[in-house]
Amino acid sequence: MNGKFFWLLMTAIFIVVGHLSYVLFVPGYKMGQKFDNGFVVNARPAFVTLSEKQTIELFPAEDPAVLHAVCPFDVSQGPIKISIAPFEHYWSLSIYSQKGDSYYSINDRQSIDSKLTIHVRASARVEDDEVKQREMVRDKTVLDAPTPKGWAVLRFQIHNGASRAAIAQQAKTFVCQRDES
Amino acid sequence: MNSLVKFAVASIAGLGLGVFSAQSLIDGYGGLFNKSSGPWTSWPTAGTRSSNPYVRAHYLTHDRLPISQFEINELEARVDDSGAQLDGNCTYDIKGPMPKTRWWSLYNFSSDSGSQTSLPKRAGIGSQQVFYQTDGSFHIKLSNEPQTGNWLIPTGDDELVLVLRHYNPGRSISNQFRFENLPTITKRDCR
Repeated sequence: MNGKFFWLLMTAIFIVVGHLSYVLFVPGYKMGQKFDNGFVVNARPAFVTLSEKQTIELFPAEDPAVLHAVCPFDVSQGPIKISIAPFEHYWSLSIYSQKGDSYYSINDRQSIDSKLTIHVRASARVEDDEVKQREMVRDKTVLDAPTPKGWAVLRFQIHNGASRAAIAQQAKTFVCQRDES
Repeated sequence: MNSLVKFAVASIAGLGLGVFSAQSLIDGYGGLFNKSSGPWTSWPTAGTRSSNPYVRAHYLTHDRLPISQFEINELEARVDDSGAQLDGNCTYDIKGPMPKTRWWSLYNFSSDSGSQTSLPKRAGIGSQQVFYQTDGSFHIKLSNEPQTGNWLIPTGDDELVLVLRHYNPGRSISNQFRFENLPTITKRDCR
């Protein structure tokens, strides 16, 4: 093989490796590191309402008009349950995989039931998640998590500091906990 | 020895070019995964099953979580209407009507302010704080000098990013997003 062609081919291979590694692994790793530094994922998951300082550290480019509450979880330690009580203001819930992919999202207007319960469990068939990731079982929503670790993120609209404190207080009615049922 | 040097050059140059090309696509150059009109850019597949690693990387590397456009329709502007980079030392007039949406917010952050040593600041204004004109449109002034009316403070001197978010957008927006009725961004003057 021509020496010059060989080194061009080697460079091209490194370009592909560098490109794919950066796109596929760096963002998820970066986000995982942030959450690992910011939260302790233990056997007792719970929503943590982020202060302004915490929000800036975790999501410096997120909307300042939004209050975030985050529940990091690990369903390999058992399923979790998210309960949402009636709430008079805007809210939305998104559930993210460890890689940062959003696999479930709902807001107050889509939630028909006065009290919504979402169960997230480890998937026995992760490869099959495109086919059946979500099941409706009676009056509850059951999700098969594509990765054991993930985050449930609640968003609330806030207008100012006083509004932040009031909404943060009301947000405590949203519960993220180990599913004992 | 000669081969070792060639290997080092090939690996450094290759990996560097690979990262550079990846970051360029993640930032939206080439428009493969994003749609643009005037100063505004949208990443329509963010937070959906049809999303791809580049869109996900765009959000995560810029410290935002991707979210479905059915939940939030998000647009970014890094330039003004003339195509010039947004500059925190300049004053901009942001004018326009808003698409039908439950509520919206317009905020800015500095894209180079993510270090832990200097915490970045964010500033925004939303549908519930804005004073509207009699025809329903609005006029926001982005400036680091006090302004009358709707005033949005820039968060940095350079590399400003404006983000416009429509929360719970109407079906007509989220199903088939068109770049209609979006605000204009016009540079007025600079310090």
